[in-house]
Amino acid sequence: MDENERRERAGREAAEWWTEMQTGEMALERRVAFVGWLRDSPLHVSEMLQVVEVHDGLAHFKRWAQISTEGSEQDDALDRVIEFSPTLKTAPTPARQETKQGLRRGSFLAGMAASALIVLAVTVWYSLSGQIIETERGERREVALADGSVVQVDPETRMRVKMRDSSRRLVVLEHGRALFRVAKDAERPFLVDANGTVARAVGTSFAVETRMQDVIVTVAEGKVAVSVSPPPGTRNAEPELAAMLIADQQLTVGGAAASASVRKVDSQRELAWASGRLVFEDAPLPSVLEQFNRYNRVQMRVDDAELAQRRISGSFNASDPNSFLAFMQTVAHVQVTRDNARNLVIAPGP
Amino acid sequence: MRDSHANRRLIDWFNQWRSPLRKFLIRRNARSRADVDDISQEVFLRLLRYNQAELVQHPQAYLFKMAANVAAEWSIAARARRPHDSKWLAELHGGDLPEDAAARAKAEEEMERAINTLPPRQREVLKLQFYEGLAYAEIAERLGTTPRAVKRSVIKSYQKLRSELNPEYLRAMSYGRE
Repeated sequence: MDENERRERAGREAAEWWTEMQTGEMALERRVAFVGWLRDSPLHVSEMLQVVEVHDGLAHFKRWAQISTEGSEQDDALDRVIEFSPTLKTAPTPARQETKQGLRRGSFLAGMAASALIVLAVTVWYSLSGQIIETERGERREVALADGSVVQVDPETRMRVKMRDSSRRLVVLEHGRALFRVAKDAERPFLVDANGTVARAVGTSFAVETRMQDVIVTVAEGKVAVSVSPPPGTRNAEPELAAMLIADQQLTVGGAAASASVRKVDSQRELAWASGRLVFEDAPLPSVLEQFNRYNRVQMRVDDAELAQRRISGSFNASDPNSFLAFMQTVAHVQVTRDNARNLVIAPGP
Repeated sequence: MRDSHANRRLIDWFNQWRSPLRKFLIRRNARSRADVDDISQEVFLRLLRYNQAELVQHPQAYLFKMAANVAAEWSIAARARRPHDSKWLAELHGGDLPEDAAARAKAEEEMERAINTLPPRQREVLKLQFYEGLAYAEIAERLGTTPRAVKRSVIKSYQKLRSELNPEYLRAMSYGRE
């Protein structure tokens, strides 16, 4: 991602924060997230100040009466299409729900031109097969879902979100990990399906991660029911309830579904990644570098067998490899150089 | 604008601290975005050092206050470095910049141009917010859509305006109208 893209995204996130502040007092959780975001990058601070400046400019603008809003109705339909990713592959699920969606939109459709109707039909098609959220290496995103839930998406993650069903809210986590802060809706449970392991919540905060063959569910708040589907081809197709998790519990479901085990964890620590922190306890240096590399464009590696044995403990800002390198230089005699690909190489000092 | 309590407080915080920030930015003739970036870099470092528990109480207030402090400190430092520059001296005595009607008119024009680059629907949402003083929920009701869709529209508008507008104009427009 180049500088302009980073700036553009920071600008969008800043505007998202600003609109959130406009709608009401932010809960502690959101304020913590906001501070975390500001502390992620000076760019975030800069874009935040600039969004506020734009707002200030609009608030002092005197010629609103002269601003025309002609053509606003036609414009609206177009606006709705952009929201969904055009890269969907799954076929739409037909009929019944589609009608329902159409009806709920009745008032919306009324004023629209015929061409706009066609556009809207396409939108519903997209929305039934789900919205794709995908992040690359070095990319972290916070996404507000249609139901008011918020997903903190880690790098290298892909999920499909289906929020339009009247009986449930479904996220299919294809790979990676994400933290879900679920908006309360007793009518529609919130389900996260990762390779057949389904975590189900009503209003709570929990994370789901796929790691190799395993699926790891960590609960920060509230209760989450986890069920596991039997392997495909098994006669008994009913999913089995694996565990009911409460706050500070973690369940790892192995590739062989039987090996599920609940353990007690410090969820704040386990989920530090969601606020951009990497926490290590006695972790080997290469695995620490691998973690940093997932969050950053600049890649680091260690070029010495003995150094690679070194174990690291500490809490670091995931998007700031430099502060980690500075830390390394204070605890070990190392030097950092750049290789041909401009990646950082850690080697013993001279 | 029919503000919610929270929103009013937010604006209060901002107003309280924007004056020093604005004065600093407006006095420098260099590229403004770079200035904001410089200040932001310093604010960022202060945020990292600041106590988390306190920050999360009123993060917005701390953000504006830190930005204003940095701007004020740097203004003083800049004056100290250039004591004989007549322009700086004049400002030292004169306090605020003089009202500049021409700059203000130019800023209004620039803002109008920028707003008119937005799609009509986004213009309408902004107009309802800033001209009619409606909250997001009220705008949603008026337009037969959801507050979420309204927010999304506002976010898009801000992004476009942000890249469309020259920061100098913005400052000229709202300067001295606290």
